[in-house]
Order: sequence, then C-alpha cells, then structure tokens
Amino acid sequence: MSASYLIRRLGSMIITTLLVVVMIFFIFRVIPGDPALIVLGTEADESQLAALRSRLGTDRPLPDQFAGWLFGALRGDLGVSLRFNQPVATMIVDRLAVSVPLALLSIALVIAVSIPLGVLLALARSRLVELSFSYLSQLGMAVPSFWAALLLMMLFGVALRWIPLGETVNWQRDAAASLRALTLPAIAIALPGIAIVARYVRGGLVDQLRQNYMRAALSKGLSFRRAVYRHALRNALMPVTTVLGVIFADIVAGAVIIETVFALPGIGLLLVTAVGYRDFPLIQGLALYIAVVVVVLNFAVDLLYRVIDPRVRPGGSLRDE
Amino acid sequence: MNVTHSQVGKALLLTSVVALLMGACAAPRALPTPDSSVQPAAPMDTPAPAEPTRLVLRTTTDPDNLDPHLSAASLTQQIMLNVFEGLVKPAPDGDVVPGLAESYTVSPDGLAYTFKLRAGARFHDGKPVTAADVQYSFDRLMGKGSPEGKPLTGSLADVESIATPDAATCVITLKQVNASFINLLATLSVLPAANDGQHDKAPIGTGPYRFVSYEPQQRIVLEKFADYWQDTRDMIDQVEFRIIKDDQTALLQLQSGAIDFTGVSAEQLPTLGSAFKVVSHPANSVFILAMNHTRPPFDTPKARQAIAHAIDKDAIIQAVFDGYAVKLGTNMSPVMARFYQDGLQDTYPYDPDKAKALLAEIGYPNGFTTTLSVSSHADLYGRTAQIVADQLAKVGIDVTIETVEWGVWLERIYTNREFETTLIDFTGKLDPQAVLVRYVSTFRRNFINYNNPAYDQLIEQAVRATDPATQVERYKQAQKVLAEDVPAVFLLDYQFNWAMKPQVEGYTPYPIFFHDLSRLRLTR
Repeated sequence: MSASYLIRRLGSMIITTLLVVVMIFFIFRVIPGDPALIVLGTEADESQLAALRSRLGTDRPLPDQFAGWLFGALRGDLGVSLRFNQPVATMIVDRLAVSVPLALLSIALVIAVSIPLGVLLALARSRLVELSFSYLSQLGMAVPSFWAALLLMMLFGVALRWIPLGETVNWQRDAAASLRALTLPAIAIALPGIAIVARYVRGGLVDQLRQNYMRAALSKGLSFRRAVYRHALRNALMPVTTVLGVIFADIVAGAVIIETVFALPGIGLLLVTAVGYRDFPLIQGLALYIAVVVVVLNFAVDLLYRVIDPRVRPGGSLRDE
Repeated sequence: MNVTHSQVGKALLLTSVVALLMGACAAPRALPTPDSSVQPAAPMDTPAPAEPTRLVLRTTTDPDNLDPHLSAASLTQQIMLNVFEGLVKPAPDGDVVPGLAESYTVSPDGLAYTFKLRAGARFHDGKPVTAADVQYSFDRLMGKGSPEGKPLTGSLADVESIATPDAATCVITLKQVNASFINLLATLSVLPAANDGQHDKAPIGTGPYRFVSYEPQQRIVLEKFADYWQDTRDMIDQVEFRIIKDDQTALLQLQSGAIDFTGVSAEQLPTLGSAFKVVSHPANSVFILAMNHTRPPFDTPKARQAIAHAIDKDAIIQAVFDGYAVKLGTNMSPVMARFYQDGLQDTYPYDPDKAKALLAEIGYPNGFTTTLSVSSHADLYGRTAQIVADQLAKVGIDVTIETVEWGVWLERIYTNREFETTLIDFTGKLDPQAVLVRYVSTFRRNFINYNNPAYDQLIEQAVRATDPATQVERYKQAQKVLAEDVPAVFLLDYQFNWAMKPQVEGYTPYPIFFHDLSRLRLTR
C-alpha cells in the first residue's frame, strides 16, 4: 500500500468530515426551533428564557458560535449539551458502551446466520427451500423493526419471561445483565440484516458457481468443496463485505428506532433527543462522530477488499486465477 | 499479506477481522459510568431496617434542569417537588399548606407577609434551614447578586423587599396586593446558600426525598430523607424514576415487572388486565382549539361562535380519550373547585345548522378555508385534529391539517404567533390567576392575540382583591366572559391514568404535576 494512496485517502476523509460538520452547523441554525423554548416548554416565562439563552450562548452571532465550536473541537472540547448540561464528548463516549457492543453483537448474529444460510441456499438447489426462503426473507425485510422489537419483548420478556426487560447496560457493574439487555435489541436489528445479507451471499455464490473459472477448477481435479470455499465464496463475499460495512456503520451511528423502543441509551437515542431539542453542541458533536465512523468504516471495508481479493491491492497485478 | 487457507472458511476469518477492527474503534471495557451520579449530602446514619423498600416509577422525559429555579417543565416538577420545598406546600385539594414556614401572617393592608420558619427543618446535608437561606433563594430568583441582575422568574415582580429580623423569621413585602402570591410560593424552592453554583449538579433540598443520582435518558434516583421534619418511617426507602419515552415499551416493562408504576393512555387500559391497580383522575388541563385573532375571520365573535357550534366535544372525548375526559366550556377545569364556574359547557352546544346560519350572517355562506397547525410530539393533537377537521367540513369550513415538530410549534406558533388555528393543552396550576391570565391582552403568552378590555379589568380586579370572596367572584365572571366570547374553543380536561402494581398504596392526585412520594406505601 503506497504512501501517496494513504495520504490521498486521509485528505479526502478529513475534507468529507469537515463538509458534514459545516453543513450540519448551518442547516440546524436555519431551520426553526429555539433550544431555550424547547427545553423550558410552554410554562417558561421571559426571564427564564433570557437567562437560559445567555447561558447557552445561542444569543451570540453565528460565525462566532461556529468558530468557537471548531477551535474547541480541535482541542478535543466539544462543548456542553444544552439539554443535559454535560460535556458532549463524555456523553458520546458513554453511549459507545451501548452502541459498539450492540453493533458487534448484531453484526456477529448477521454473519453467523446469513453466510451459512446463503451458502446452504446456493448449494441446495431445491425449489421448495428456495421458495420458502424467498418468502421468509421478504418477511424479514418488510417487518418494521419497531414492531419486531415489541413482539420480541412481548414474547421473551412478558410471556416467557426468559429475558428480563428494562435492564441497564453497565459493563463494570453487571456484564451479564448488560449482555442480556442487548440481546433482544441485537436480534431485532439482525433480523432484517440476515434477510438481506443471506440474499447477497446466495445470489453472489450462485453467480460465481456458473463462472468459467469454476469449471476450470473442477476439471483440473479440485474437489467441489474446495472450489466452492476457496474460490467461489471468496468472490461472492466482495459485495457482502460492503453491505456488512453499511449495516455496521448504521448501528454504531445510532440504531434510532430500536434504541427508542427498548429505551436503550445509545447513540441513536441521544441523536433523536439532540435534534428534537435543537441541542446544537450535541448535534455538532454527534455529526462529527457519525462522519468519522462512516468515513473510517468505509476505509476499513476498502482494506478488507484487499484481504479478500488480491487484485485490488495496488501493486498486485491482474494474475490469471 | 497472505490469506490463510484454513478449512474453517472465509466467513470466520471475516468475522474476526471485522471484530478486530471494531475493537480498535472502541472497546466496551473501561468506559467509566457517567459521573453525573453525584453524591451530595453525607451518608445517613440509617438504623439498618430489614430490607430497604424500593419503587420504580416511569417518567417520559429527562428533567429540563435539576436546579428548581432554572426549571420550568411540569414533568421535572412532578419528580423534584419531592426534593425541594417552598415556604408553603401544595395540597391535594389545590390549596396551600404550611411547608418550611410553619405559619405565616398577612398585614391588614395585604402587603406584608411574615413567615415563621419551622424549627427542625433541615437540608439534605444536615444543616438547619435559616432565614438567610430563604433570603438567598428569593434574591437569586429575583436576580439580585447575579452579575447581570436578571431575575430567574417574572412571577416575583410584585415583591418590594425581603427582610430577616431573626434567623427564624422572614418578612416579604409586596409593592401591591397580589392574591396569587401565597400560591406562587408553593413551587418556589428554598435552596441552601452554601450550595451556590452546585444546584444543577448536586441539588440539595429540604423535601422528604433527597437527590441521589441522574443518568441522562436512563434514570433519576431518590432516597428517603430520614431527618425530614415529618415522620418518614413508613415511606418507601428508595425511589427510581426510569426514563422511558415509548408508551408501549413502558406498558411491557410494567407487565414484565421491570417497573412498578407508569401512566397509561385510555386505549391501553383494556390491555392492562386485572393484575394492576389503576388510579384515574382529571388532569386539571385545558385542551383548546385556539384561533389567531389577528387573522380574519377569527376576529369576529360570530365566526368563533360558529366554530364552537360546529364542534362536537363529546365525539372528541369518545374518539380520542375513550371517554376519559371531562367536557369544558371555559378555560378552567372543575378540579379548581373553589374558583370554577360550572354550567358553561353548553354555552354553544353542538349544532351544525346554527353554525352554518352564523357563518352566512357574517358573509361566509359557503364557509372558508383555514389551516390547523398541530405539533407531532404527542398523539392527541393529530388525532383530535382529524376529528375537528371532519366536524368543521360539515359546516363548509375546509381545514388543512399541518403537522409541525414541537420545537417549530413553540417558536412559530406559540412565540411568533404565525398560525391560523392550533390545538394545545395547558397544564394545571394551583393558582387561578396563572390559569386565567393567559387571555389577558398584555400577557406575554397570549399567543392567540385576544384583546378584551373588560376581561383584562376583571382579572386585574381579582388579583388585587384583598377579600377572598370578591376574588372568587371576579374569576368566575372572567370565566363567563371567556365562555361567551369564545376566544378559543374550550374542549376538555383529559384524565391521567396511573397503572401500578397492586402493592402500591396511597397514590394521591394533585391539581398540578406532582407524584407525592411521601404518601406512597408498599404493602407486603
């Protein structure tokens, strides 16, 4: 991997992040909604509002506010949330204790189920299996996640009482309870993910099995099993990696609906609240965080391509397979 | 870089690479728990009773501020009135009873209030409550001593001075008679001067419960204050308010035993089953269809009367609240018993023909078009809007429903007054003045631009009355003016339904947002 490539990538990552942050800043200042009004509600009197506005600094000119934010951010200080009166950076870091394990658990579930399932479906070649999967996967993708979440809670939390509801995620205090608290949300997130990824795996693999190189591999005496796992699956996994990357970034950047339904204090719940309350410092901080997550994960997926397919490596020539 | 040719398959490899990468992003291990869980006050010398009793209640949103002087949200007050007290306290019947002041006297001219502080009242850090703390609290509320000198509330504008002749006495002198003054004090908290600068982080009050911790979007934890000036032995030891936004989630958590207490909507009641106790009571709210009086034809009384005739309040009560609401005819709920003027509900009964006739009279024989702007943050606005639009269509008024975000509603409609019609529910107050002042022409939150000098005069007379009977009389007259002039269509007062596990005893409704924990008991 050449140095110039890395520098170019890094430069474009920084520019993308900056653009996102600037856009979010000005969009939220232009759309209506005064944080002081929203925080205090209908019963606030003028003195309370004025006191809060000057405390929040929302009465200062816009360029001032942005410059203040940017210089703070460069020093690692993202300001203080208007709604929660706590440092934004600390709040985001606290939420990672929910969002990152949730993303890992969900993506692990997706991978563990969808890849074997996809392979099975590609190799099964049975009309019945294909048909039933096609219906199930459409169901999996079509069911709204909040509804699936409520059903899971009703079944496992209320009817069967296998998993207690309303447990807290706190890895130091009680790791087992934290894991239990994330189980149902992870399943709810994984369900549509499994449906989508299994389709990609199956489609990709079926496609690869028809390729000439497969025929060549088999005719030179390679076992079917080896040909499938060593060559076909590796090629089929290319698009799957992209999809997994997108799903993962989505969860780390906040599984808004699932977190709301399960009352899980992750990035997503923080994001909806921040937007609803026009909590400018929190919105800015989260925008920065999400931009960085997406940009870095995209980069990570690109690196994974290189692992899976040597041809993508710069310097790696287009050898004959 | 070379790919291993393991037999395990590429899937596993992929998993581990992804996991490794993500592990580098942020590992879940050493994340500190939010240090918002501040621990004020020294540990209490509890005589270690059997098992501490514990109750988990649900609340829907985070507190707007833990500092009671900076907070304005009713839902914050609902919790924090257990932590803080004023010189007087609210009573369930809407009156005020002695709080930190064990008694008070009013001078014959109605201007000077002398409060005798309760001996033995203590802050949660163990220090006694002194007149200096009362002075500090009122100075702070009135902006004295702060660099900008801005008051934290406008409600004390009538206060001339505060004096503390001795450590247990406090004299507040008013500029002019204000009949509401004593009611105001019920929600103006006395804070310890020694905790200055920390009120929003480590609040210290004098109430029966002390603040333990707050974790954003998760919980507020309170603990019984054993040194409270009333007997606390039977009170519940630990109380947690779990912040759960979604109603359905809260219901499931109640059913699974994760929480013990939650508000439920009328439509959720039937699904609750018999396993839970339900306490229902009128909310002391006023739900109105507001019309902007600067936008024709809403400046014409007959147009407003026509709309009032066209609206079937009973249908709304049935359709949106499953019958769990009381019909109103003026801007007050029957909960305000002493001040409430009954019999105004049918000043303009449901009568579409009459409505059409009135519209024809003022030159709208074919009705008109208007926009009904409603906030999306609660279900009741959108659902009521559908019914209102449907009912108004029957008299030829063509309504376009516009849904806006709560933040937009507060700014554009409530503050900048850019709207034609809207729906809003006003939350209950202890004080009739606070309820009726909304229609005084000069009131800052008179967002419908109502202007009726006769009404303004009645309200002024009421608040300046030294004689309680005159005061009540003026407020009742003011309600009649509202009923006849229909500045807004006064729809209903909905009910709160609190579902709780059967062991919870003593839930006591108040006319304001207040879960009075000191009255709750847990039976075995």
